[in-house]
Amino acid sequence: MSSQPNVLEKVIAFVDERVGLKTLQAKMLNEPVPGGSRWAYIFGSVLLFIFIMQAVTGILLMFYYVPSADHAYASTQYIIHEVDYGWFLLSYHFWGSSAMVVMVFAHMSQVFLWGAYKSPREMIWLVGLALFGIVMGFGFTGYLLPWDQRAYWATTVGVEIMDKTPIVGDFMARFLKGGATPGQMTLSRFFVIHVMILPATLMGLAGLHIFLFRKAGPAGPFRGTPEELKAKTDYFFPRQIWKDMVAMGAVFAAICSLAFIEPVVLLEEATPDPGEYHPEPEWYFLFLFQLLRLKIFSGEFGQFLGAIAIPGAFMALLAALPFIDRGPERNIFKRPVALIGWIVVMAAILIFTVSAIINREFLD
Amino acid sequence: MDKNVWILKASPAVLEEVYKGKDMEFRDQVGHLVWTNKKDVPYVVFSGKCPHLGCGYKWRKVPKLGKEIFLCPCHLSIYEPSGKVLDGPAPRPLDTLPIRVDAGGNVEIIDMEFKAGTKAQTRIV
Repeated sequence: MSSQPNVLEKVIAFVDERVGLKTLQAKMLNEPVPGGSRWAYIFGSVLLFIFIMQAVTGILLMFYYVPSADHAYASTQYIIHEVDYGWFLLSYHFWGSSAMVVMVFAHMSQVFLWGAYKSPREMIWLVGLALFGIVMGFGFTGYLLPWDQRAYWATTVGVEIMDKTPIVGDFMARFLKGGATPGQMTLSRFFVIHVMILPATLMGLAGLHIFLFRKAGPAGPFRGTPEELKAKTDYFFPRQIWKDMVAMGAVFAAICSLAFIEPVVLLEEATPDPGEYHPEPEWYFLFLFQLLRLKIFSGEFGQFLGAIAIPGAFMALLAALPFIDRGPERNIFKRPVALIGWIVVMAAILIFTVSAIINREFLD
Repeated sequence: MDKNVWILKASPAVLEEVYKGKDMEFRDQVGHLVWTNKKDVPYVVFSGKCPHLGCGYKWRKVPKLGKEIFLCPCHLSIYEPSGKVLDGPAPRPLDTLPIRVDAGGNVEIIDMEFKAGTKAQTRIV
């Protein structure tokens, strides 16, 4: 047997000598997890996995998709009906976006319930909120691209809602539409935002999020003395990585199953006449859609209140949360206001979403 | 892209509701008069864009109410055939558009569009 290193080992040694691969690997894998690995900590890694898959499927879709008002619909139909497994790629991308929203809600809920936004992790929370905005932005801008009736109307109404933002709203709406009414410029702008601006911003912010997380270290469980947590400390590799990978596999299987069971079907091509189609946004915006149907949010001021002021105030409250809630207590069962607040918000979102679904049958 | 409009062969009652006995004037962004709809022309044309948040509204028969209405399926604004808000969150009535009707009864519509979501009409096209 020869003790000489093979070519691969030589290449690795060459790179390691110059960039410190082994130090990097040790830094990545040997992150201490106080109190040991948990299934509750999988959400961040799963989000990263979903984003990577969205990027991969998105790039493959771009090989065929044409971002013009004349060809967007036809090229999407081509992807569904002519491209080998194109229907699967598009459906995976579609369901992947929903999975991302679900996972963002799960991740934010876990951090909130575990009190992990508290000092010294305020900046991680703030960057996380910005990432939440980016994920919702992905959903909103991606929706227009197939240029069918669903796409056209969700965008038309969404941009009008944005228009109600004081001072910048009118500019934002005209910028997004690229003119007075939705058309080619709208599609071009949404396309650029969806495939260039948002991915670049997300990658930058996700990098910062992970850096800040690594700098502060995981918060660990909310129960247990420091000595108990230290005694149970695991490293990121292998136990937490294993749990993360199992969760990624489960999410991948779930998205694939949804893509097979409910593949994307386009409606008619976008026109300013909705015909028999009742416009509504994607399910994760339904609660806001239903909220704006309420009588108390009628009229110019009412719609500003429902569409901008209340969601804006809620986001501002979330941003201010680590600075308002400064108590060291992290146990959610000893933070009744936080627990009740979370239940109320989740119940309200659920009730409004279900009401919007029930309302569908009264529209015909 | 084309635009969606609703053309109504209006009854005298609807015409009265729309015009309130006066001709309707349309102005450009700087306030110059560009067109006048005569109150006795028996056609009314509404922009197909809901003045609430720009959705496409529909014509519906409501047996319970014994009348026909315009219904916006997005946020459930309901309008009388004259465009008046009957119920729902819309901040103003439907936007009437300037029209010209020739001797053969052909209705020609002059393109105009107004900002959604405001109480006052703000012309954007």
